[in-house]
Amino acid sequence: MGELRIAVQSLKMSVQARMQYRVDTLVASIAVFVRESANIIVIYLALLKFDAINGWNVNEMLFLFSILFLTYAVVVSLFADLRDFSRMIREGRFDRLLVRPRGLLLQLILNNADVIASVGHGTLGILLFLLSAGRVGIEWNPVTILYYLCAIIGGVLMQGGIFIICSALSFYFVETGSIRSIFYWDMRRFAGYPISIYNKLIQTLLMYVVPFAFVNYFPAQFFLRKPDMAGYNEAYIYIAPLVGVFVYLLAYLFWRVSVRRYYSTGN
Amino acid sequence: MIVLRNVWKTRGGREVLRDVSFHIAPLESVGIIGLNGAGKTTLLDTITGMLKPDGGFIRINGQERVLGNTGLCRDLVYISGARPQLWEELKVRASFAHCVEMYRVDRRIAESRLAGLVQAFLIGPFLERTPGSLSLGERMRCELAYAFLAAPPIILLDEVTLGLDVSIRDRVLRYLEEYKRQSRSTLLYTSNRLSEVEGLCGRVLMMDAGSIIFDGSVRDMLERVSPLGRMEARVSPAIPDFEDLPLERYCVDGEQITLTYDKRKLDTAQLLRYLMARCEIKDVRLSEPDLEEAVRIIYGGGQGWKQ
Repeated sequence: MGELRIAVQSLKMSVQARMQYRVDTLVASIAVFVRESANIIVIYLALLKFDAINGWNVNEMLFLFSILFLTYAVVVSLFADLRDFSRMIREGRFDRLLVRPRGLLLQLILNNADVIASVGHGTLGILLFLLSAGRVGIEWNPVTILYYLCAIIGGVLMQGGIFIICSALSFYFVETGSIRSIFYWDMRRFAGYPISIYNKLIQTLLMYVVPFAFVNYFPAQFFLRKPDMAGYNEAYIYIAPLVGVFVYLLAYLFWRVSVRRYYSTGN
Repeated sequence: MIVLRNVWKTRGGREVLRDVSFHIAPLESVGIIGLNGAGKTTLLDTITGMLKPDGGFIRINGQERVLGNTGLCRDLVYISGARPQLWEELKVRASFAHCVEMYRVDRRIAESRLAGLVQAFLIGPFLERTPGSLSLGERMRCELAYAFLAAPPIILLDEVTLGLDVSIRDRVLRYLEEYKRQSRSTLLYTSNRLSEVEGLCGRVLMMDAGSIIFDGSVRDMLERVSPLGRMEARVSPAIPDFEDLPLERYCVDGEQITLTYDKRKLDTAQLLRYLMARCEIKDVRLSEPDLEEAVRIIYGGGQGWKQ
């Protein structure tokens, strides 16, 4: 409970720190929101030309996107330091954490929240959710609500896990920026669309290497049951939230091993 | 208990620690002095595990590794200009709150400590500001307060008086001396000023080029260093050399001369008489030897050293 109090306190302090520059934060958040919205609007306009992509109509696509944005909003409020880990090491801000009496990973997760990105992506996510959820025929009951929440948590853990793995790679390699951009950012771009539109290779990557498919595609199928689901094992829908937990645990173990190596070799 | 045995460290092809060994008992306060580049900061970095030694071993309270060992981390705090502990983006007060949580300081004790520190270091006005908006000296006072708010069993302070103006430095040193008198923690204190260490530390380690060249009580050190006097003078006409005087060391730069002498062999009045007999003294200044001088003396085993 001590840790929880610290977690809440830390988050509060991140927000307070940003709020010292209220206008600046607001403008930057709006900028993020506009930038991301522009992407969505382009896709939306393109989609209007088609009736559907592999059976997914525009609203269903927006629902798929909304999960991506909502999870990312939570991810950056927790994993901001791990997202920007190479920069943190380069600027020498990592060393000071080493002698503080608290778990390193916990410090990295708690210390910094990217409030701007969180607000920008979160607002867009909520907006997309409100626009699409009512029009895709989801029946909200305790079971679907519970599944939705678990899927979001799983999605956050999956992406957090990827950031942790990429950060841990910094202990082995000097430059990890390109790894991160391939394994996170490029995969995330693919995940904006139903994975059934891709060739086998990309599908495999999205399901078994960087399992973004379990962040939004399979959870969305729980609600939508599109015909393209026939190509995949039905069970994937139900294990989707667990995949996040699994990736996170794997990332945690990899981090432990890597950071121990870092301790014993020194910087 | 801090134990170092035969610790070596090489960085960039240069040996920055050479065969360093010592024990520091609990509650001992030890001053580590040396010129810039002598290896003081490297030594503290190595003790805390931020740097790995290439050879030898280090134990703190019987444990080998500090990093990743939360329990041991809670037993020490390391304040250094190069590794600030305050959160840049947070108000100083918030960093202090973090500190109190992490070091598990009882809330009431923390409040009274903070009140004392605000008075001692005059940091009241800085609590509601972020470190980025403070000057170097102001930030360092807050960093120091962080250390003594946590007040763990081992406190490592690296050149903490850097950037402090004289009156504040005196306040800080007075606080440290008072803290030491109450014997609450082991204190490791690096400095390039002999005078700071005098009042604060019972024991001195002097470092030069990565080696410990002196390890003993402050009194021993002063006995070896303080019989020395130093005279800087401007004389006309210039005197080419002082080979006929029993000086420890001298330096002639045109009319400007710097003489270091052992007062037991040669007193100041004699020296002045000698000069007045040979030239006109335009200006004269007497001082105790500085650290550079002291390092040379210790290094030379007390032998005269002429340049």
